Amino acid sequence: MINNAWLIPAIPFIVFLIITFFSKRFRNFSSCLSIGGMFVSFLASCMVLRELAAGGQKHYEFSLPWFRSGEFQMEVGMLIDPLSSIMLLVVTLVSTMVQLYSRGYLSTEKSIDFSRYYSFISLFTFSMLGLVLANNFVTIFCCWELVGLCSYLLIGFWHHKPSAAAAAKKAFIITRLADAGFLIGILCVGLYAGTFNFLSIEGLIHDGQISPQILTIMAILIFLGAMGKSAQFPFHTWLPDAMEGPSPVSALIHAATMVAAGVYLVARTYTMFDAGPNALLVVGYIGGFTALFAASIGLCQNDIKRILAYSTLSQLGYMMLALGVGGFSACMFHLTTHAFFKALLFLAAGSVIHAMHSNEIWDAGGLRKKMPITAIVFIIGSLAIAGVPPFAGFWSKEEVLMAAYSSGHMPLFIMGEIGALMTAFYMFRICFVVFGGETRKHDAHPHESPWVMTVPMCILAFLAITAGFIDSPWLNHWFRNFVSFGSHHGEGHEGHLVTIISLSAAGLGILGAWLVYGIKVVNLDFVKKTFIYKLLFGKYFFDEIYDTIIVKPFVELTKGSVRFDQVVIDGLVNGVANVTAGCGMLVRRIQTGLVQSYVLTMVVGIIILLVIWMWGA
Amino acid sequence: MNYTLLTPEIIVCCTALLVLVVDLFMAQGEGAKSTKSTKKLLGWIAIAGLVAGMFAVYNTPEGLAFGNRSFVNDTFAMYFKYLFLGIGILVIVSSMDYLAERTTHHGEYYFVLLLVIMGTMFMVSAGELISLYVSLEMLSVGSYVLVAYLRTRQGIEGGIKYLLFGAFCSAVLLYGIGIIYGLTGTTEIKGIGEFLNQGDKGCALPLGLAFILAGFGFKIACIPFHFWVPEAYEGAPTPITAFLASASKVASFAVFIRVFMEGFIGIRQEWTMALIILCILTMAIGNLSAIPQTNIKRLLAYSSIGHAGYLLIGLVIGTVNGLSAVMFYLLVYALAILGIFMVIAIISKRIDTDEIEGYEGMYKRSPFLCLCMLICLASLAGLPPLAGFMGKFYLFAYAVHAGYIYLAVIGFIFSTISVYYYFRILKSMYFMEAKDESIISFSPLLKVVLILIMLGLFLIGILPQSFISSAIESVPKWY
Repeated sequence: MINNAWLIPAIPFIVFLIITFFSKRFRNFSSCLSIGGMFVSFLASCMVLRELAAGGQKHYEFSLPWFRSGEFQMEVGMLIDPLSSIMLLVVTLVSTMVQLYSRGYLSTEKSIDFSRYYSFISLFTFSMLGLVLANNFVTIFCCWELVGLCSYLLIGFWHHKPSAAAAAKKAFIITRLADAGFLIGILCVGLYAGTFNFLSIEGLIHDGQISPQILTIMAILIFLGAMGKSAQFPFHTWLPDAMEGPSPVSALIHAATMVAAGVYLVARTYTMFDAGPNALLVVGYIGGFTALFAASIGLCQNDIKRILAYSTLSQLGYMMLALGVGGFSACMFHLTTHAFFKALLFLAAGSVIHAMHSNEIWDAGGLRKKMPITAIVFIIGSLAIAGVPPFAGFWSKEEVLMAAYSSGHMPLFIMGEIGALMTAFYMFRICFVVFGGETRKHDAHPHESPWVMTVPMCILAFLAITAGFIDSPWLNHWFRNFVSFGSHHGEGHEGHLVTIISLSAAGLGILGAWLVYGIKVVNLDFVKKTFIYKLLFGKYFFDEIYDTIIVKPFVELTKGSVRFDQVVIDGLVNGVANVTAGCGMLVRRIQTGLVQSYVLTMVVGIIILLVIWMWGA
Repeated sequence: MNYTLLTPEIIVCCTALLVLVVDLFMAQGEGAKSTKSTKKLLGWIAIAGLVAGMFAVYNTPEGLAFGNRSFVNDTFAMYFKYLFLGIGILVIVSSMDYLAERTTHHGEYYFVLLLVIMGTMFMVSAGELISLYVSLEMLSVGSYVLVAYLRTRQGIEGGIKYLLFGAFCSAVLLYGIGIIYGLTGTTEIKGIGEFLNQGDKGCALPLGLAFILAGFGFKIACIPFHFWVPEAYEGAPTPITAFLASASKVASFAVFIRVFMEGFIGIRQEWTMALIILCILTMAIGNLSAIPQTNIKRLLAYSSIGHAGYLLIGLVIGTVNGLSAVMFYLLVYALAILGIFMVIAIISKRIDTDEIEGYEGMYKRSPFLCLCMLICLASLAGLPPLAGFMGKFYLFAYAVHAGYIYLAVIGFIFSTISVYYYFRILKSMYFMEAKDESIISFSPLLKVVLILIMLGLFLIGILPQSFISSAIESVPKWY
């Protein structure tokens, strides 16, 4: 199957073409085609993973020449190694689940919109798979931009809502800003390495062909792109707004896959980060800070999807943190388990929203009786993300924190532990408010979602429980050995101290949530008056700060440049255009319409040619 | 004697005769009712012949047909033969629709068209000046007839001017050939090249070169030998305009390359300067004259003069890379221009004018045709990711490599200007209000062909490597 791995991205692309050009009107055909195609891709990904895990070659590379100019050749290609094969599996699996779920979630849409949704989702999956498989910077950048485009299209899926349109624009612009850094980084790579191929660059770095300072600069520029896509601080503001898109889109793009692309990019170019001094430190601290910072905002939000969005930011921070302290396989492990339980949480949240027609957690209440399946899977997801054993999140978060601890970066470890406490708190805050207590809004009549929505949730819930075992001692740390081929990047086994601290953090968080929202021992009205609550509720006012120091001055600047453009540039352009048009009118006169004058001109032409020759000789 | 090398030409010739004979029997048939579909049959026969010709080209070995070099079948000739047969098919597809209500004489039209295609095929195979001249005349004479075929006032005017001017240029070319023969004692291009390499040159050589250059300049429509172009393009039936702009130009460039790169390469420094001047003049006057045009066919005529200018850059470079860039550019140019003229042919059937004004608000009348026009024009203008971009990219990049940076810069400036007048057409199609909003319908066959053209432009633009490689392989190693 590895030799035919191109089929995995090709199938969703073909599906995209078919839906876009032929089957817009047939909703069932479009969606079934898309889901079926995705499932085939998923099976193919499983086969690729199995063949790769069976041993043999370390990686497989396939490439085609794209175009050549002189000595320089551009290629399009695929690189299949443990890293990409894990991602393939995650992307295709989550995409299949989400597409199935969407059939129920979007069932009230019109056929055209419904098909449009599936065509975008297919295009997204194709681009994401292309990104995962890319073997060089140019290919990955093309796919990188394509997933950005799909994200824009899907956030703005309900484009008649002004907030959705604005959120789509915001997401696109902020990530583009970061991508500018990425692009400069890619150009630097081309300039200093002379190739865009990941493996060739790794080879050059091993041979010491590129100076460490330049590597640091390149790595940080590339990390800028990763920060934009993974919404790391200070590019984090777009992700919570992106929740304007349909919930399954949030689950697929803004939780499980696309936002993890930044993490994947750093993992993919890990050698560069490793070789450039301080580059990893930057990654680690940005990640650690985001993990703590986003978790703290998540404590006080009231929109269920926004809480999950901040939680995603925070978890992505953990992954970056893991990379920063050398926990390569810990990062990938957390990425994988996070994809499952966060997709699950979003789908469950979507199920709640579907039933309540509201995103506010305070509108819901007592849903455990009306929607038992949703409640159970949501709690499973919350346990997983909080890091309660034996759920998946426990194993992966444990490894991340272990890596931080054993690397000796104590500040990062402490940030991680406090973040973990907050995570447990805000997740169980949702659980207690939404599923516990009594019904608050009596005019809504929530009911359990149809099977197309609950089945994918149950499958993901199963994975959220069990996925952690793939790196447990009982399976001989299979994942770790597979991803990093036995070469551990400083992942130690520092006894049980880390485990005890993490477990108490999770326990404290859950206990706190229970005290505040379960049995309500604290007066919430009092808390809401405190400065810290206002600060957190206002998300540290980053949107306002950006608006004041960047957006408004920028708008003023653009107004000035519009005037400059209208007066000076347009004047120049119109002047040039008028001169050119005038030349056009002049030379037009040559064409008199009389054959004799044509022949005369021609003879003169020949004579001039002769004169040139004589003169030249 | 090896007649098998001539199989493609023989097939096309027999098809031409078959069309004529079939038409004769049809003419005696019953009423006018059946004629419409039976006339289409003629087109299908012609297409079948051209497709068979393509297979024949594929199966024909390289070699000399008559022992001497009057008919050479090499990779260079084969590359162009594929191109001509392909162009022929597209032109006939367009003609079948275009002619239907304009004339009843279909047989002769296809007959002449096929013979002209055969002429182009002989042209690229001619390794000797006499056979080259004869095949060039085969192309020219047929073209005069086809331009005036519909006997409209403009068609006759264009045809007559084309004929008069063409006859003059043909005489000049023949005169040049005579002088070269007198100097070198041979008409074989290879022999001329070998003779000139010995360094023994007569003083009449510049005269012969200038005359030959003028003769070819007329066929490729470079300044100042271009005067027939606007009138002939405007007056000719639109599919024939497409043919003149594509096959006729491609064939002329092919013989230009063969004669100058095989025959006169030894005295390059003598004609390079003249070629550079012609090249710059052609780009400048062609593109500038296109700006004030109001008739779409005239506008495209001037634009095709401008494209001849870009192509001359490749001849000035004169390396294998430069020539491969020319051959690649000819391919992408022909594809886009055929697409445009097919759209014009379809639209003119409904709006009965070729003025750009008539295209106003076309977006509401047929979004598909407008999309086609958009993509083909964008490709001609050289916008990525379309094929035209890659064509210009290679041409200008090799010019820079070869040290002709100023030619690349001038080419770049004029291709920017060309965006202006191409987008004037699009502006009236997309942004003006329509006077008449009836939907324009056309046959599914044309739709399929147009979709294929658009896909081709995208494919070549995104994955140019295999096409440019095949062009590089087809450049013969003459030097």
